[in-house]
Amino acid sequence: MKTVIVKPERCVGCHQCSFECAVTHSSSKTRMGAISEAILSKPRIRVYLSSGKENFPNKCRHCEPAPCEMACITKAIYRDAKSGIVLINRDRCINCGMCAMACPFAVVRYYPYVRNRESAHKCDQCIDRQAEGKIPACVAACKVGALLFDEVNKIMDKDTEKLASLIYMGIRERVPEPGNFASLVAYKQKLNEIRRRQS
Amino acid sequence: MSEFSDLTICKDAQIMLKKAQEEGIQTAWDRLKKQEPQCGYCELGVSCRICAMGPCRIDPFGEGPQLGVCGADADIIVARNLARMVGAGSASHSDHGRDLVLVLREIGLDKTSNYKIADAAKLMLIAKEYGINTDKISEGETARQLAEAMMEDYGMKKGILSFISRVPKQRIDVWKKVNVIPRGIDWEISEMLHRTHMGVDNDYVSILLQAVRSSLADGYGGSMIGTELSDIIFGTPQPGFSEVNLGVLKEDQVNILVHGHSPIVSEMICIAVEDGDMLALAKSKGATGINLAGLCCTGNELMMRKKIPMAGNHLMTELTIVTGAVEAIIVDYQCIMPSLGQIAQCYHTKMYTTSDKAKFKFMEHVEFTPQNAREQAFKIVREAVENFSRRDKKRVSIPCTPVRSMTGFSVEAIVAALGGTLTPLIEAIKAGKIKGAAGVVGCNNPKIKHDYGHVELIKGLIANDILVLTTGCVNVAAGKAGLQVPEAKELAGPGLKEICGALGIPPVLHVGSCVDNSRILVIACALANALGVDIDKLPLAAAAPEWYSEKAVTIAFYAMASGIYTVLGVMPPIGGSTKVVELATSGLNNVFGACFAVEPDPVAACTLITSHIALKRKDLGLGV
Amino acid sequence: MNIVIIGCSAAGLSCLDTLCKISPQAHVTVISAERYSPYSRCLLTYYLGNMMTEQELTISTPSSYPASVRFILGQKAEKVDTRGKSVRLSNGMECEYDKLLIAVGADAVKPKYCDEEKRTFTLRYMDDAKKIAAKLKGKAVVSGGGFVGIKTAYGLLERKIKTEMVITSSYPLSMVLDESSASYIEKDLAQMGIGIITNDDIAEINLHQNDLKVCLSSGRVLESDFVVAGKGVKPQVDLARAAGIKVNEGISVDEYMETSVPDIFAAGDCCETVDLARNKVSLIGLWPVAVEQGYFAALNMSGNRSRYPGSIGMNSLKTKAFHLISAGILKGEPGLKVYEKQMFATKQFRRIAFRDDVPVGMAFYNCPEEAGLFVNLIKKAQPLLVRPQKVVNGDVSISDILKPL
Repeated sequence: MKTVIVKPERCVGCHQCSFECAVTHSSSKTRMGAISEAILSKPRIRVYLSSGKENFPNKCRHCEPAPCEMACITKAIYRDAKSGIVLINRDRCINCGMCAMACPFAVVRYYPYVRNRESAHKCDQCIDRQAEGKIPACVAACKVGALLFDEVNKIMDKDTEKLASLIYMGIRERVPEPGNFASLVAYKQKLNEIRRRQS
Repeated sequence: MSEFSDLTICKDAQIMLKKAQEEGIQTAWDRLKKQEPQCGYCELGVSCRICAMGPCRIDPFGEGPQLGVCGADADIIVARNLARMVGAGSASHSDHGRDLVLVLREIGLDKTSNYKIADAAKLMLIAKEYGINTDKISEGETARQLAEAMMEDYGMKKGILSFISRVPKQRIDVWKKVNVIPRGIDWEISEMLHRTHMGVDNDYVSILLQAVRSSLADGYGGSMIGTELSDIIFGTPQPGFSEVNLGVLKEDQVNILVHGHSPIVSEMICIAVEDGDMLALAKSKGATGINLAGLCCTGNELMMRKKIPMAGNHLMTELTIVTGAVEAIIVDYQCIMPSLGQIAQCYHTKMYTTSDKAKFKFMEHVEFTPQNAREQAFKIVREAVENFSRRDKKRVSIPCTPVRSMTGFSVEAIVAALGGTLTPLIEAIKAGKIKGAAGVVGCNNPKIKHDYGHVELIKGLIANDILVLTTGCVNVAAGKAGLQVPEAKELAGPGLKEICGALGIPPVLHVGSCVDNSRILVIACALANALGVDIDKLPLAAAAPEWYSEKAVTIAFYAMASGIYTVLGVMPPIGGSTKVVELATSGLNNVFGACFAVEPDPVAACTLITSHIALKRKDLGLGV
Repeated sequence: MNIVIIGCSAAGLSCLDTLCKISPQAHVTVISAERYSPYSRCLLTYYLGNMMTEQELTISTPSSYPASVRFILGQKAEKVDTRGKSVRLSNGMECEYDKLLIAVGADAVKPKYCDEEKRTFTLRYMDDAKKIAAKLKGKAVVSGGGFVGIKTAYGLLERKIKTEMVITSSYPLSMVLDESSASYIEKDLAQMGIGIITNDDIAEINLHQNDLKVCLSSGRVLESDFVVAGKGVKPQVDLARAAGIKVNEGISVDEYMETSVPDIFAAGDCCETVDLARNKVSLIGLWPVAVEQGYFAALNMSGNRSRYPGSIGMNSLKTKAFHLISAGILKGEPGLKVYEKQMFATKQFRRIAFRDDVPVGMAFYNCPEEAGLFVNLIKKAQPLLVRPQKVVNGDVSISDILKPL
């Protein structure tokens, strides 16, 4: 099963993933259309910044078992049997907040999706796009390889269980690669150093 | 081939794209694909890189930040970004114009033997417009005085641009009301940059009004000076025939291309290729001759005046190298893709930069000055001829035969074709034979199917009896589609067909390069003055179906501010501010009597323009 | 393999669903004393408030399961024969098992004054909700200021019933919240139109010619059309106790959800497990926890030995006016240090209790987004590497919290 794999050390914080996520989950699916809809579409992936100035794209991991699915008292949250994606049936959702309480990654938000109706929002791994043979919008938007769409097993095979658990957390390698952003990484490390010296 | 027919309507481009793919050459289309999806914040104009408290961006979906670090909201950020685009476009045209002023001054001071006055009559006319008493002074002195008067247009001594005198009084009153009469070309552009510095102008309307003012400094300043001086120095264009498309390249000749915008360099190359010694050298290398062709707007300049054929427009520039038949490309500035040098490395093609302002990787720099221009031109042409023997004949592919195209419709030429006055045109408009006129201008943009936007829109317009004036990259599109020959009248509506038949002109007139949009302004002003009405009352429209450049935004701005309804085929980066979008697409109407529309579909754009022209005709009491 | 599950609510159903996935060859019999298709008990107050229909409460239907799953609805399990490995139902039927799950849940605590004749009800089962719905009119008294009490009052409010809450303690949700957190809720409830009487209790209810008089300990008398008591739940342990299974407060299980009798497992509100915040075995009567326990019971019953790590008390309470998420312990223990951040303008607060740098309890008001992060931290009982006040203020990026985990 392919899933979105996050490599935070490659993220440059451009927020394109959340932008394209919101567009792809809008009714018009176009940028100009999406920003002028009466109920604005919302992103399901967010990029945070750590105190060390490292970017951290955060989205639903589609955990197995999924704490949100277990906590859902209306069974609005379910796992798609075929793809393994954890989905929300918005018409069953009553916004009780149980899933936000259960989610260890803080990815659930509550937003209106039609007039007068709110529902829990979270990543659906672009199941509609996948049905059309496309990769998830956030991965398509990511220009730096911080978001990948690949077989979990393929990556897990490469190393130990420890690595697997790191992937579960969205972290694959702890040491930032110098790569194309060597100067940026160096600059951020410098900032970090100054911060440490001051505190 | 079908995959390429989604990218371009041009057969020659499709064949070359296939060749490029086979030879592993990346083109703008490939690079666009790699960029996609492009930055959504930037596309909506809500990202700001103006200061180092940033970069900032506004979240258009409401979850993230709604203010930049400085506190600017989406409206301010969008307005600032757009205004800076206008400023940059204005700067580009005007700096091009400045180079011509400098050449004119050198001529006047007799400091160059390479450049001369080609149209002395026009020099006298323009000098008079500038209030120079030409009676007792020499041609050279007139040139010097005119050049120096124009330098003041760039500066801050005068406080108003000289060519504003060409504008109808009603229009000037409109501009006075909102305080957008341009004072000095460089003044408005640098004030534009000043106002968009953090913490200066933070009222989006005020920012955009300054954008209007700096665009007018281009249209009635930098660009107009550029056009008029090009005519004075190199000759006012007269109608004549030339050819377009990649077929203008000759398999058995040395092919030299000029690319860029200014005629200063290309005119010199034009002299060098006609030199007998060069021809002899070419023959000694096994070529039957030296073939010069143009690309982009410098090509338009040469085509207008010297009837030199054009190989292609903006998106064709990379593909010309792919033919494998080009010995040298000489570039000056603007719209030269940095990829060209890299692509030329894959062939024997040599590339030369000529301006200190525009240097590129993988291109040899040969600085042109008014003093050394001839010498340098000969040096380059000689190297190009010598390069002929390095051509790999197996890789040469010239995909088609050229299409005939009529060119040279300067304002003077149009007036002459009409028999000396604009009256026949006005009568034809009044009688409804010509419903109106539209300027179809602008660039190519790989986001729009290459040339499709231009050609479809033009076909629709002429079928509706609307006379079309084209500049810039549109010329090549229209020329290749066979729309710029007198026979194209068959595609026009009955009224336009009759007029074109009577005058022996095409329904689509090649009026020049992109600075020559000023010619369209001159005609519009003259028409309005002749009718005694403001420009916004006239049945006119403008369109930029495939625009990409900052210059195009500036052109759109000065067209709109002159009272001409302007339809854009590509959305400018303003979507992130509802207020700016509303202002641009309707609010401006209340101020300038014209506004913008965005319509990527040329068929729909044609409907927008025809209904706009019908409305204007109705308001003038003319039959629809 | 024959598996029998007694009880068909959160734990039972979760166990069944998990078994269907990981052990599809097993024959499973599900016994429920209720005659309804499995429904979500937490939603009864929504049903009462007309916010959801009976249909919408149903979370699964017996017909959607494979043939290897058998549902016996409306029959109570009367006796478990641990030696003969069978369960006897109220209709006399015997169900043999290889593995048994007791997930019979808990019953509502019925105070002395509870009497359906006097239109005084508890709300635990679908039948309760239907009985109350039949008597709905005018004015109501809800006794008890816990989650059920507030949710019931909110449901009744939605039906335009004038409701008074009678709370024994000095503020609502006193079992989980501290006084200052609760004051927000008290204010919001009052603003919605729910009356709150604190430090009082119902002493006696009298019925005079169809008029209900609710007499409080303080001497006050309330007029009401009906009364709902939400005074907590007590685990159903009788079946287990009679079978000789070890029972404390609830059915005692080991970390593999197995009771003192081999092959008999227990999960859900009827059993007691480790409360990770309190660090001791206790009752956590909670839907998500019951689902977890059912999941782990299924793993272990099917031979996939998996240790259930335990859980914490937590709840989410959402009304039109506010959204509270609380978890763990916020008061009543020595060594607790509570950090808080109040945002008056947006009517929000974040409160986190620490014991030696380890977060043990939290209450988030109107800011549910990051709640799960902290619930997870409390469960993991891992000391935070950043200053607690900064965490509470929201000055620490969630990446700094997630990364060290």
